[in-house]
Amino acid sequence: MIWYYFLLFITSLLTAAFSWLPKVETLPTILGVDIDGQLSTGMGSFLTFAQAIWPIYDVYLGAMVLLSYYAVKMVLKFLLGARAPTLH
Amino acid sequence: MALCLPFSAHAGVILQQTIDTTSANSNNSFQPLGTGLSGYAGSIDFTLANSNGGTQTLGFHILKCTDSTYTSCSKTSAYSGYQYTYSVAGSQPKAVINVSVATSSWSFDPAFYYGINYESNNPTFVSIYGSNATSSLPNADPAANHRVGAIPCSTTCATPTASQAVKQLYFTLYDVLGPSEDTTTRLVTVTPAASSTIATSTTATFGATGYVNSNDFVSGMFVQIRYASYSSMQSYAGASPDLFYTTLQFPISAAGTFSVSTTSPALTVGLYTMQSDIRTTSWTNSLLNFFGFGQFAQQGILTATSTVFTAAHLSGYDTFVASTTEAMLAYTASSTISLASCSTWTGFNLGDCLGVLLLPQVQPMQAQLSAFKDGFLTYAPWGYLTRFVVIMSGGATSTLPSFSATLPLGSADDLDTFTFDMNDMVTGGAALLDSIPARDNATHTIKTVMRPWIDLFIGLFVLLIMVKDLMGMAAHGRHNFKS
Repeated sequence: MIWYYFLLFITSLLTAAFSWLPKVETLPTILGVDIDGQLSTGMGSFLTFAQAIWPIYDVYLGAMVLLSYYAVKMVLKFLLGARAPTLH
Repeated sequence: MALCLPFSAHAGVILQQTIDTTSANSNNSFQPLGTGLSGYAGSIDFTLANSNGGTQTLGFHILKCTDSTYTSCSKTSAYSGYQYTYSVAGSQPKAVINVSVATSSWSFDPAFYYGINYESNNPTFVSIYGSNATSSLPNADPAANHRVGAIPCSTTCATPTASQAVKQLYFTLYDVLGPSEDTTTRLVTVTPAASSTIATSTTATFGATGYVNSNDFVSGMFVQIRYASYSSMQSYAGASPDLFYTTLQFPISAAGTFSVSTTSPALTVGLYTMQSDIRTTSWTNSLLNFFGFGQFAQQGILTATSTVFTAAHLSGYDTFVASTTEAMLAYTASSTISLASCSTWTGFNLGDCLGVLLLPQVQPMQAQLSAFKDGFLTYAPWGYLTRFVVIMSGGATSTLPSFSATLPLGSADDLDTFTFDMNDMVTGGAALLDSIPARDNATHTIKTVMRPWIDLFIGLFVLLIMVKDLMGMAAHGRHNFKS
């Protein structure tokens, strides 16, 4: 419950403080190129290809896990600064 | 459905009703139920009265028979005793009795024929009743309110006389347990509740729950809720009072229970009147509504209720407190451990208390993280990064594009166009590769043999990188540790 309310507090505070900013639904179209559509279709095509050639998909999943690990580490570093539990 | 009128005071799903064609004066303690029955026979309804004051136990079996002659029947193996029992305690006025099944592990098999058989442990008679249609009950006793017979005894009873014989006895089987319930067409609850105070800034929730009896149901039936603010009535100078009201209509598609709700504007603060009713369609109402005399459109109302409620505006702080309270209640409701474990008054338990306080619950945490992602993380400019990550981490697949190539075959003038379906080539080819069987094992393929090993290798590789990073062995090895 303590962790939940900590998260609830952070979410409520940040959402209320920045609610005046515009929300981003899709990526913009630049010079006539629909960036959002192109990226979505491209990623979908890659997943089709990777799932057909399954070792590629498994490597992709491993890479996503690794990226998530680095993302969590970055968040901890941002929140805790020098007290973050990393040695370098 | 008319046949079930005396016994239909129950809201469960009716599995079967006996329709007995027994001739007069027969001692018929067996009622055929037919075949094709499925599901769980939860409870049974019958109407009973006992005027002689004697006590006895009525027992009911559901017998399983092999064919439509009902000659080869047996008790189900789940029941050595009676499947349903009811104790008659002295004189009882006529009433619908609902008894639940003794064991819940039994259900019908649609392939067999079933019948109900009943017995008594006492050589006295009680009256049980059938249809209230007097024309079908030639020997019914009008003074006894259509008494159709007396229950026979299992072994020692005397042969019933003409007035005591069981004829046209009806049972109703339900797939639920529990006492008989009211099945009249009615509104059970309305939202907002009567005399309640609701919070509104722009809209409020309006709705109703209730029940429509199958005898009352007609196509086009609907629930109508009309509401109006008293203050707007007092300041209004229009021609028709009907224009004060906001009218909501919810169609009812079938008999049985219903629950309808929607949000509708409630901008005015103060006292409201609300009229809720269940209606059938009426051309008179349509005509009156068309000409602006809706207040007189009262045709086809099956049941109605009138309530009042108060609308109040909430400040931003009130809204925050209300949403937080709602979140707290939702969180504690989702927890398998009660918050009461932290109270010294109601079963204090240190382990449970620490658990509910410190251990995160998966579902609320996920919901809150989703709210964080869909709220704060979508604001510009970082929302662009969020959108990029969402696309990159998405699981939706797209069909690979096809392309065409025009190639010369033989001479430069002999051009042919070839179309390559990349999706079919890649997915079809991969499926073929995946189907290559392993040696000496027809049940395994190369894929099922190789994939666990490749996954293990990738998993160890990812784990090694994380451990290496956490232990600080990436850049400077042991020199990362400061002494």
